[in-house]
Amino acid sequence: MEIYASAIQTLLDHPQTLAWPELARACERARSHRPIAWDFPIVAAEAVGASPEAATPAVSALTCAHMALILVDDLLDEDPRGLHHQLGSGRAANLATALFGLSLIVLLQSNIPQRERAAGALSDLILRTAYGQDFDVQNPQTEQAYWAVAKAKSSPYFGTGLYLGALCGSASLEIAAQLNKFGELFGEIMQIHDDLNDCLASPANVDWLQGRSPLPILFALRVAHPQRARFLELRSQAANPAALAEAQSILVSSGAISYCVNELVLRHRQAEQMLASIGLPDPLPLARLLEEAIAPVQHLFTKVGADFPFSA
Amino acid sequence: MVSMQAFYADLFSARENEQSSLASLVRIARASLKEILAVRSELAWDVWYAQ
Repeated sequence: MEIYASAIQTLLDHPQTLAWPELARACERARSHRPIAWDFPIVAAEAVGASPEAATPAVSALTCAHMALILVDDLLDEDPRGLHHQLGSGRAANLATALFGLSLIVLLQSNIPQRERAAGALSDLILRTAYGQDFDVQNPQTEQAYWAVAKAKSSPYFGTGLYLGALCGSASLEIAAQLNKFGELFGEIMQIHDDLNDCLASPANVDWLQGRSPLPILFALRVAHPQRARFLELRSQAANPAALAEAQSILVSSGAISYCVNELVLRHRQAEQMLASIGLPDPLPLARLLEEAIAPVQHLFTKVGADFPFSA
Repeated sequence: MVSMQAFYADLFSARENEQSSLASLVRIARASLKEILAVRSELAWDVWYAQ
């Protein structure tokens, strides 16, 4: 059986899942809705010289944790697409708690080495992300707070995915810790991409409509540029497609998009250097992750007829 | 880490035809919104859509 299918089957076969239709439906849905970075444990296992199948318990746990995180995120963001609109907020919150519990159980009941350590890492992911979510929901408005939220909210998921895969692959704790740091940096890259996608979406997504401040919007709000007053005016009218398009154009001309791209390029370079310093039997799977993460930026530079800067 | 304001000052003091890393970023700031949409990707937190 393919690794991801096997990982989901483990969740479906748990006695509590069998007894709880909503939990089973959530796990069943994960078959066709793979979470982002679901394969990070596999990539890490391969990078440390183990078989990809060794990472199966970590794939189960990470997928389960992702479902829980999204349930909570949708509740906090009042996202109209959230499952809480079907189940009600209370039951959705309860389902998230169940999924967190299940994610820990699949690790503790697995036969991977260091499974208690792995469960501890997953607990830390849950704790740190919850802190980041709580910080984020208060809509921080400073640069310092933005980066603190990104590190707390996004980095642990990606770092833990690689860390768990390394443990599944019987890597040394030192290598696992280095992969965790690499994954955390990757998480910051992901958050910047996520913010760019949200800000450039049309029609306006919840970030615009709820007055939130993803990175490009924060830049256009904080920096003293000639179009700032106009941007403030348009931001409150983002439900109007014409106002949204003008506001998005100001994100471009004010340098907000350039700033985000610069932050992506700097982190990509840092991640390349970090990867080169880790003594991995096979760094290529991780290098491919980085290539995929920088590809949209390279595509943009090509589109505007510019050179890709800062080549390592 | 360079602050947003410092980045803005550097960006708009750079010239597009300079051989600097900032020149490529200046080009982005002068692009159309349509061109900028090329940076959108599938790299995003997935959403647990209601079925």
